[in-house]
Amino acid sequence: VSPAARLETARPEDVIGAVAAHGLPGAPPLPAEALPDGAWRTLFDLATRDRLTPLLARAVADGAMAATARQEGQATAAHEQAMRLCLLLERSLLATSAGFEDSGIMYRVLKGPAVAHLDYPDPALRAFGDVDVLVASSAYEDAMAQLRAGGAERRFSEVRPGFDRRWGKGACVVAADGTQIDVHRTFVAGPFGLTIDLDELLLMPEWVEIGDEVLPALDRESRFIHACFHAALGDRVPRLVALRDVAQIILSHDLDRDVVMARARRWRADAVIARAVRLAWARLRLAEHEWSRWAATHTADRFQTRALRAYTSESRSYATQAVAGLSAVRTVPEKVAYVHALLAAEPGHLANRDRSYGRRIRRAARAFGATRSES
Amino acid sequence: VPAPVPLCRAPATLWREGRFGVVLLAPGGSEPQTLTGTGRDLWHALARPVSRPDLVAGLAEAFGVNPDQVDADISPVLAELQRIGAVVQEDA
Repeated sequence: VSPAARLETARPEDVIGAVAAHGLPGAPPLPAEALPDGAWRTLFDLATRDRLTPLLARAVADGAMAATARQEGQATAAHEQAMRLCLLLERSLLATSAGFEDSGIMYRVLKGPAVAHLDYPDPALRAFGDVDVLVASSAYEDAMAQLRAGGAERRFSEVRPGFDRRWGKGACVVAADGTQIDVHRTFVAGPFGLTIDLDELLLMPEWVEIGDEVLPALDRESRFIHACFHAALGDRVPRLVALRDVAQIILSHDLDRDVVMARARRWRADAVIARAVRLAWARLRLAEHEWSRWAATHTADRFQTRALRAYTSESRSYATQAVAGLSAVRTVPEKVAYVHALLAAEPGHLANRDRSYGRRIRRAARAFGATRSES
Repeated sequence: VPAPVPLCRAPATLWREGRFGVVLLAPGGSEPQTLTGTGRDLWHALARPVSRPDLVAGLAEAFGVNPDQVDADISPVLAELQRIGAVVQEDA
């Protein structure tokens, strides 16, 4: 069956993939008849969950997908609500970035606002639900202090003081206005977050215009790699909006695969790119493309095969990712420090997670077993 | 008689457009506001500095209606957009 084959049924679970692909070259067609109300409700819920209401509304408005007047009204209203939230989040991003710039903190805008403005033909097609920024490891503590001074609070305590700056993904904070801001030091927790060359990531920004401000984002290749990390590793069942980002960047830019893959291999993450592209092409039912052909034949090396389990297995958890991260820590003294930091967690962190050191050690042992035995 | 001061969108205004109209968040606004119907055309017409008489004349021509009617229709919207800071005088 061709990936671009017509939708033979109007199952919402199939239609939502075509909605996620709407507007891309090689996208499958959408239903030519309005869905029954029950199927529409399921489709609408899926679109809301996966932040696809802008694409659903656009598909209906373009006449690519049939809908009743009531369905169209619902999609249009949901699109408006999603965009209202995006504007409020962009304002929060501008306030955050202004604080960072005043303090000389090197940062990059990640994900939603960056890809909406730089990779989509219209930012109104990309919804997002929080603000993500990447800060240099050396500036991580200053960035957190800056946010705390503005009234933001961490959602979860740090494993141990200094853990985030040295090995962590970063932290999620809630600003005084209720906005969630994810402060990243790297893309993900665990092994794939530890193999990225964070200095290389910050080398050459691409600039994104938001309002009358121009903010630094990742360059196109790193933005694509991050989109792949998010799609392939972010959730056990990937969000369709993340898969759309992967396909969007490939199909709307002249993306240099040699540059992307050279960087991904240096970061021991070519399998992450391959997994993200395979998932995107399968779930969005896109027509075959040179990237999808490459991804279909890619073979992961031993390190990446094992590292992927920490993100994709049934037992996926922060613990399995943290334990699997040990394989990416390079030197023996570093490994000892890493294990010590994980096991000798601060009481505040322990209270939220394991309640006792004994439980934490037993959980670490189980997580270690999971990263070795699952497929 | 001094020439009318041109009006334009405040560059710091954040906005998105869809079938719903134009939703915008002005620099001083607390909540996003949505422009519907001809409000969307008004927003597009303000992409570049334009005097009020030219703005009215352009919209009247586009819609094929009397300029006085257009002036009356856009007056409250324009006033609100200026009040929240989404539209400014070019020299502001």
